[in-house]
Amino acid sequence: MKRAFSILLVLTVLTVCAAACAEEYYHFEIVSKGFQATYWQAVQKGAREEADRLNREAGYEMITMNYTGPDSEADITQQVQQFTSALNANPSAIGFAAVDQNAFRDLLNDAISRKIPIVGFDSGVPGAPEGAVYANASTDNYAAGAVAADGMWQKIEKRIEQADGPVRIGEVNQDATGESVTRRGLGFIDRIIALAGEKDWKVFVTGNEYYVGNANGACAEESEAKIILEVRVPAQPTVELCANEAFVLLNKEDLIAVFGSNQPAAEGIISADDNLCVCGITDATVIAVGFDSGATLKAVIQMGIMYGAVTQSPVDIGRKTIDLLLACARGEPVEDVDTGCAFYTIENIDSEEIAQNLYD
Amino acid sequence: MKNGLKRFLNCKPVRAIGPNRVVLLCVMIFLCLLFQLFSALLNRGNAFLTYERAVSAVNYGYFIGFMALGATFVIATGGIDFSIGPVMFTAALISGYCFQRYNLPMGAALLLCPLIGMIFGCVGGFLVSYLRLPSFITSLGLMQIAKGIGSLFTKTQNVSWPAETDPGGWFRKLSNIRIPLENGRVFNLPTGLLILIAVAVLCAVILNTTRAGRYMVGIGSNREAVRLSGVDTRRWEMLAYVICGTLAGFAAIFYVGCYTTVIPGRGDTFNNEVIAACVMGGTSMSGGVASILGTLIGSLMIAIMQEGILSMGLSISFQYALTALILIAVVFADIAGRRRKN
Amino acid sequence: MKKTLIRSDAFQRLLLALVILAVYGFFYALSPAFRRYTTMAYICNNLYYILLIAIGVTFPLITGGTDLSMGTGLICYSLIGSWLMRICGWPLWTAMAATILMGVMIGTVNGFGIARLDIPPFIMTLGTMMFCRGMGSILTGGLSGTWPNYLEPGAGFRKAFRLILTTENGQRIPIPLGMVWMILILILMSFVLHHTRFGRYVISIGSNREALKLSGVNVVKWHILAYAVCGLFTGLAAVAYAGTFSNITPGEGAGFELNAIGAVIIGGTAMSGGSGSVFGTFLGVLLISVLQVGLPFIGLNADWQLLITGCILLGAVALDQIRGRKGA
Repeated sequence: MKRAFSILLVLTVLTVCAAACAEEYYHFEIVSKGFQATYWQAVQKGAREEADRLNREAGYEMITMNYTGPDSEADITQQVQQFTSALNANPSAIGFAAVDQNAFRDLLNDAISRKIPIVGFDSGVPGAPEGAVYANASTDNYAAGAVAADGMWQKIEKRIEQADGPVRIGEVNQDATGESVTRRGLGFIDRIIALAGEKDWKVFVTGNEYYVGNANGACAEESEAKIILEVRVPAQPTVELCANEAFVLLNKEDLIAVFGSNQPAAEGIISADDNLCVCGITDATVIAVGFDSGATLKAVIQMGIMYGAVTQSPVDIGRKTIDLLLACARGEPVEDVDTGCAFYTIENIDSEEIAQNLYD
Repeated sequence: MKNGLKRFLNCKPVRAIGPNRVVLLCVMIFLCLLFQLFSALLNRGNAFLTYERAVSAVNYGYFIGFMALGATFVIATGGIDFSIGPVMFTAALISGYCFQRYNLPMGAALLLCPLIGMIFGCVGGFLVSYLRLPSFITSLGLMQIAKGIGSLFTKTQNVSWPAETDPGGWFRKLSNIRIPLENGRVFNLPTGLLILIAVAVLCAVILNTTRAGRYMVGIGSNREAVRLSGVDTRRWEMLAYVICGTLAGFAAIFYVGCYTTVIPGRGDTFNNEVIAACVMGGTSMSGGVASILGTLIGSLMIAIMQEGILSMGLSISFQYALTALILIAVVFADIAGRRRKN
Repeated sequence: MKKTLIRSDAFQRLLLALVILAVYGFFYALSPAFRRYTTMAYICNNLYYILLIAIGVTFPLITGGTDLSMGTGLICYSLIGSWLMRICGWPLWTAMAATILMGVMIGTVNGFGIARLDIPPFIMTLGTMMFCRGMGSILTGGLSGTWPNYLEPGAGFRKAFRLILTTENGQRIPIPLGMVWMILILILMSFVLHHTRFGRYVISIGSNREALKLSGVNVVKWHILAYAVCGLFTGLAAVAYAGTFSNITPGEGAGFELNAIGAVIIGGTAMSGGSGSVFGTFLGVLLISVLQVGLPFIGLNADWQLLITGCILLGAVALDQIRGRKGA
């Protein structure tokens, strides 16, 4: 009897010890690009939801996280300070979406030498030193730009065929330096060139130097082109300045379609259109295609002002980031995750697969 | 208690530094302790008083500090310079662009920064002292012009200065020397702080002992009297703006040393912090009273506040609110104190 | 006789009006797209909030002070208004009233600090500017805000600024209704400035405060009132900004009041105080807006606009000097 009791006692003690030793605590620092667009609120929501879910499963507060971001996507100083602060907090892992590719090299090397894993999300950390970023949770932005082009092409192909002279397609990109925007912008341009090439139409790319220089397969002379693709980038990445650029585009007589490669750019196009009232979904209007969602874009798509947009899965990006962070902190092997994108219009905006990714 | 305070404020070393500055230092120390307490409470495991945080804080303080030192001269003459932030950015943009695209050697690019700042300072100084334009509006106009020039020069593209491992990256050693340790961490030696203190000492010498400095302060307190005593006030007033511009350009080197990339069309947000630093340090907006030591302490305080707010896990907006409260409190205390003396 | 004509304020306003017509004509001639009616509607749409701030800041400027808190202030108030509506569920009109009230409150605080505590206006408003910049972000958690738009309830308030008429064939035409209110406000404030006791005292505070005090007037009260009126206009500008733009980003706004002050100076109000014209302010704002909208049409982007605005500002101040007015 006594022996049985002592065996039971030892087993109980061992189990308790094992449980206590198995208690993991992880603190994650997430430095995002800010909260300017409601897109980022959705990412944050996804991250918090996943962290809460994991904590509920574990039964205790296994994961704590600190989610920060600069005032605007142009505030490099703030993000550097925040990232340095994140490093100094000695977290288990850091989730990071850099506003600038070049400002973080030294800090990333620090992270490598301190063995703090970094998980990139959204645009991630392009150009990071080898071994700094363990994995990325993001959309394939180049493919997303192509998806936008495909969606727009369906609507405008016939119109281009029937047009007498060259037509103009506009593109508004918030900047020429961020990874997500530049990849989407180039993805759109290259896809339009490819689709036009199938019909033997030439495309002339004009406007911002960066996009003109990196386009694939554009023709050299404006006079030869059937499609003129004008790319405009505002001086600073704000909705008002994007609206000014969009205003110039929307005023051009030969414009038949315009693409805004992220939420602020798309909202800028709509803001400019409020004054001009030229966008719509008929053949006599300018076909506007946006990116992400948000209350404004959802409303204008439903009102028939904007034709459609490409949605990412921001909530999913947030969730997958936390999953990847946990895996890195535990030392498990990780891989990049492509969270996907889809084109939506007024027709499928209410469908289940699209609606779950839309946010206000 | 009150007697003890009075005795403290009247003792020799305190009077030598200036009671305002001592009060400011005490406020700074108090803030540090406050931040340490709150960061331990609010942000688990995140200490404030660590060496790394101090280095991160002074990184922010370098460029603010240099700009504030320059601004002290202008404010001492009774003027104001709103263009300092954008001038700093424009200097960084143009020099960086020349380094990147035109293969200007790094040493020349580093010299170009204060040179560009000096050119803006000359223009501003000429407009204010020779043409007698009001400094408020003139510097506003110059600010727009500086932003425009910087942006046009780089065709609205950002400019990134080289990282430490890239060719030309040695300029970063001016701000921080990174020494790798065995356990994988890196020890940061804040060389920028040494340069900041050296330049501050130089500025203090110019302002307090040389003829130029005395004239500048005199212009701020009583321009007519200085002019009537036979001095060409215009020359010395312009010199204040030239110094301010040069230091703004110099500050650019330390900004890019810590933050690498410069975005065109920005920079006016730093103006507020620079002016706040000067005013907190005891330099009077109406001119005639200036303190380099006070400006230095003010800049460091702004840098520490910024870092402290971050360490508490709060967003950067709290820093603005806190700086505002401290600014008004310090100025009010100063005015109340002066009124009581009268 | 000729000298006084050139020196008079009316002459400067006439000159300014001619400059605006010249600039407008320049763009008109060079760019066919600029000639459209919608461009004029666009210019009007973008200038409401700047005009309201500019009218507001005229009062502190006339008293010889400044108000730097207007830009970040208007962003802060409209952000808080958005937060009240979306998170706290307040109805539109109550939130709008709260926004305007906040402006008046902060304006009064400014006035109190400046008139009663003798804190220099620059410092006091610099402090409130930084405070507003922080408060707006803190309350909303750093998120940008939007006032009701398109299909949401309450979005009708935007019609007060821009009415969109739909013709039979489905075409939509924007009408800048807001200009009507602006002109009414301009006439009202001009009357207040030149024909009421308040206006006369404000001008006297700027030209000779001591004399006014010695004549027995409660200078502090009227001085505070000048800043409170400025705050009122900041609140109105916040509503106008929220009504004409779809997105309110925290951290923005730090440059607005500088543009507004520039416009006021171009319009003829002296920084040293003692004189001013509301109509001149309107012309100053109009010039800057026409430039802002017109330059992209002739292929010059926002950088040129900064450069040209800066040069015009310097030119206006230099002109002031030549005409013999002393600056601050």
